[in-house]
Amino acid sequence: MGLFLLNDSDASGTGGVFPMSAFADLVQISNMDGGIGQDPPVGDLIHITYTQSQTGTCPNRLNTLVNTTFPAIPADPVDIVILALDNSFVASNGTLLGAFGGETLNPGQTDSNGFTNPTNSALVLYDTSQGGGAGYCLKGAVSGNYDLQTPNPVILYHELSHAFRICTASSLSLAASGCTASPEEAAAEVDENDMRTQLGIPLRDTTDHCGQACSGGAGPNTGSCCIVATIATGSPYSPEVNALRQVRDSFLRRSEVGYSFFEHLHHDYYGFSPEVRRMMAVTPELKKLIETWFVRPLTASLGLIRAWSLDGCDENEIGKRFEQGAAETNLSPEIAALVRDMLQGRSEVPAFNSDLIELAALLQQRAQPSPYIEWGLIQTTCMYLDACVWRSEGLSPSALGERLTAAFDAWASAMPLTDAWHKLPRYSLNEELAFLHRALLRTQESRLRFGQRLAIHISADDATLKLMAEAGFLPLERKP
Amino acid sequence: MTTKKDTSHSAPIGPNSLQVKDVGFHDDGNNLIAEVRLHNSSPRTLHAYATARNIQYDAATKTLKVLLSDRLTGEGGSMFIHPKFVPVDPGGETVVNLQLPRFLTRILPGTNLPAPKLERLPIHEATSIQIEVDWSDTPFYPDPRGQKHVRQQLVEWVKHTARQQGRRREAPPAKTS
Repeated sequence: MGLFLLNDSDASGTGGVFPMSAFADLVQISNMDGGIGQDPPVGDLIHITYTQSQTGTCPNRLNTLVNTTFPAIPADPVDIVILALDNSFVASNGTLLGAFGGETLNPGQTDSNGFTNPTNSALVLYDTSQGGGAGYCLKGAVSGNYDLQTPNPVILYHELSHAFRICTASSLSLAASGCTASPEEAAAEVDENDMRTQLGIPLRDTTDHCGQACSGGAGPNTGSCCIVATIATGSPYSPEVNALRQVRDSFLRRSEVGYSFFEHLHHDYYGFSPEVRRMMAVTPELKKLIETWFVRPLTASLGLIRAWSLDGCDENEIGKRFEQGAAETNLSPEIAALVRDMLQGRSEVPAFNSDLIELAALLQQRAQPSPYIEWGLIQTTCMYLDACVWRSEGLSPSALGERLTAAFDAWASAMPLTDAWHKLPRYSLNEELAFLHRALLRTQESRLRFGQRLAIHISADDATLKLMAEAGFLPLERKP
Repeated sequence: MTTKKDTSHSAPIGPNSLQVKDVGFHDDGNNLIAEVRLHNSSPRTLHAYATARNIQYDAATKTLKVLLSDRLTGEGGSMFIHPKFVPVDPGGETVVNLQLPRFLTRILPGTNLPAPKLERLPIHEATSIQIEVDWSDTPFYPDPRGQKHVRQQLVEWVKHTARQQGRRREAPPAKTS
């Protein structure tokens, strides 16, 4: 009984199993305790011994794993077998272990990846090559980004957490969705953080199950957002990009219709944005200009819309916030009008800048025809640029706030309607309307305008019209 | 708001918009290096897997099959390491270089064994390669609503798969100073 390393005498010398790496990781888990040792190999197994002298959560757990007879495992004498592997390890169907970093299997289990355990022990598999040298980066509890390195002792300790619960018949649910950790994974991640604490490295976000290679090219887009804003501002985590990410993930993609809208916007955005990226690469001066003229007004506008629609600020507050932001943005009314007209395709771009002419042509051909881009990006930016022009006319902050909020309401009620509205059962329709009421359509007038359009869009029947009226999206006394 | 034509689904993207123009591999003594040349014939930037997720080897025909796809990946595992992606410009080409191990290691089937038995497959002996590359016309973003496992989201994101076969090549000559 106890903890064993697979020695793999059959394959030794060919480089597929690394028991010495695993032992080194166990020494780190023991907090460099001199009481850890190993018996000479018997068959393919090396028995780990441990006489604990170091205190701490991780040495305590290791002591339990090495020196306990676990009744949950019927087999005798083996309880836990560790296979320290590299990036050559595959499941029976060819799936690479590198997609997961590690895996722990119940006795006799074959999992959905095709990894199989032909023994009566708990079987720990982990990749000591760090994904072939790229490294495994997980979501940091503090950084919130997938930038947290995962040393091998941490991976092994995580897997041993699963093994511990297998041995004590206390495994938790593996049901997971998205990147959210299942209860079983979350428990292992909480334990994993004990090892990170012992090593003195930052902690992992224990609610998140995803990761990415730390190096070697473009990432998974789990944290990235909006390539034009990213390049123009010079960072995927600039305040502007963070603001856009927040709108995307915390607001837009949370509801069914918002998600559907985003899918259209996303598709159309990537119909022209790579070309903008190319133009910025060729002409670095364009980068600064796009940041100042387009990205900042867009994110500032979204911030004000949020303050108005979601946070409940009044017109005065919106005007004040605009004034503060505009002073920092410092866009002249001439430039604001030029950019607005360019975005709306209303006038010829002055011929002083050939890059701008190329950009204007691109926007006209590929951005403006999309109702999703026009509403989501162009109109949003233009409302802010309009306000920059009004500001130059000497309007007070409160008057500016009044005009801006009126524009926000008119804009909100003109949100493009996708096919997703047709597919909603009444209960979900009610939920979506409640969400829009709460998050975007603040005034009754904007809700009624939107409701009129929606009723026509979905050819609403009497029951749906009644539901919409009760939700405040149609007048109670009449149908559209 | 002016009503304009919905262009979202009108872009001329088809199954052959992204093709593997060429694939080959060589053995540098430490790894197998596969070179996958992707060509985009569409007017949109396309986005393709750039990470090998599955490797199979047929020793009888000495054929290596490499999937840049998660369609055979399961949902277990202690982390889900996202694949990398590569954009391919409209009308352009991109080369994806894959660094593959020279052997595959896997556990042999069995029951009630005291210890797992492993086998090693010498894929460096391969003479030909089959490649499959999943791609789409937008970048992949995980769904923050989190209703489906991220692997399932990846599978649903894929629009088409580009396939090609290639041969083993001589290793490029070592550079001398």
